Amino acid sequence: MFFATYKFFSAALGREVNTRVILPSREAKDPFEKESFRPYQEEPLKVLYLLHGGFGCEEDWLYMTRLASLVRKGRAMIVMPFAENSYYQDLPYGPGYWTFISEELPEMILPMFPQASRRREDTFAAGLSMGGYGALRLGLAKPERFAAVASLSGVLDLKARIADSKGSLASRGLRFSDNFFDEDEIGDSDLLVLMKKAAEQKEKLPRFYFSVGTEDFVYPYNQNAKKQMDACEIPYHYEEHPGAHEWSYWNLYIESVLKWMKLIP
Amino acid sequence: MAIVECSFYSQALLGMTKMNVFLPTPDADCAQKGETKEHPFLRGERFPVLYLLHGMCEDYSTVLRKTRIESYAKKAGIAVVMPDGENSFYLNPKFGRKYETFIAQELPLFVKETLPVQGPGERCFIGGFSMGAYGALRLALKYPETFSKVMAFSGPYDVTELRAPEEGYFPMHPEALGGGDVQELAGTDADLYCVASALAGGDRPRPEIFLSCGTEDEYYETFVKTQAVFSDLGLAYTAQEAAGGHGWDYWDPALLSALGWLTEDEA
Repeated sequence: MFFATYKFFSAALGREVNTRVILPSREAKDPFEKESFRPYQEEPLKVLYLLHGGFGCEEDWLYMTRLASLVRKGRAMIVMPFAENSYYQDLPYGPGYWTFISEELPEMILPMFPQASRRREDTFAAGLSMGGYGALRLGLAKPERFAAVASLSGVLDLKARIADSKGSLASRGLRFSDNFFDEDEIGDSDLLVLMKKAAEQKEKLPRFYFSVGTEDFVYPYNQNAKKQMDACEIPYHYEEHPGAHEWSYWNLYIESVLKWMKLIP
Repeated sequence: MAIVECSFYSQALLGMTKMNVFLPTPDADCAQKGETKEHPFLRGERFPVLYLLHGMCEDYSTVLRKTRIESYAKKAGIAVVMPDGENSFYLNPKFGRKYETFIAQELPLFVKETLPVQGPGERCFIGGFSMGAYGALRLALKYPETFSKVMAFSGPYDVTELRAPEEGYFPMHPEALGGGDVQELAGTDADLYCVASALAGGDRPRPEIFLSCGTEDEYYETFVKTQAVFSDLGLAYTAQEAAGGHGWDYWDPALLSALGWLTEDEA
């Protein structure tokens, strides 16, 4: 395996940031040629942008789950950016996290890792919680760039979340309402609005995957998202399992996401 | 410059190892001037690459801590790889991890596959400090098809002259150099002059060589002797010396100077 921390200057964020990248490479079991080392594999790597949740960082998936041990068996590069508690938004007087993950990050990742495929059919996004929202937003706002996107316990109805969390730590710490100043509508930050727009454009959409625990507080937001997807006649894959908003759920079901995306056998 | 800190499996070492890599990417100053889009990195360029080897008792983090390599590399427009070599002298020992195979055969190919740098035989260079200077110079002389230029700072090029452990010197080299009397290394593959002689006697390509040493350095005499040996063998080299001892106060400015030499023929 190959593990990297890639630190580069981001113009969208106005500072140097760390992004974690992992990819499968030579193993102990691979043939060792005495005189020369053949190029490892000719097939380009698929790319998964894997997003963290609120109060988290670019290392969460690596430290808290078995992601790396699953990825070893496949042919995909996993890119994990840091987005503080931005909700993957361009913050009103702060760093532009939406511009960062939707535009700048791929521009800085693809030239740095020449093995990575640039094809839409090889490009994916997924995330947990705040990251599930982010991944779906990428799939709906930039459908021409992604083959499939997945949400694990995603906060998929942001308008409802903002209303539900008024005055709590979530609304103080997570920046989902920074752009809206008591407005009723949240524009393109609302996945339910993006779903309508995506359906109207009739462009080729990515495949969609939702997974949520039945005891999870984001369960109602996932039901709202399902309803909107059904109303817009956009197909999706949905799973629910016993579980709450916790790492044991994400550690378990990340494997299903990777298999559904065909990133691992 | 971007920095990529890597942890990866090496087949030569049969285990995990680490390296730091600097690559030219659009920085804040580039963004300020609105020049980002023209940056060679975003145009898919593969950069010339310099493998810089640390000295004894050091590791893959030492060079970037003790020198201003990032700003020098940015000025030179090259990528720099700083691998780990433990106390191996960058050899394949009888017992221990195969650092010669790692640095000279596996790494340049692995890094070329993984990052946007040029590969063995292209603009692929090597350099090092002290034990790393011996390592870099010997590997460039032994693998000139891989490394076309070498810069060596204050190396103990004559391994037969290394101080023995009983003279109060750290007993760090026994494993790397076979564990016996260093005198016995004369004429073997660990003997850098032997490797140089073999290259000079044949018609393989020759690396461009840059040797640097401080005049107060304990290896200054070795530096002088090595130049004489190379002259006798007909191996061309550039030598630079200045006041200074065996340490980073000398090596940091020497590194800047050497990078000027490295890139003086680049368009």
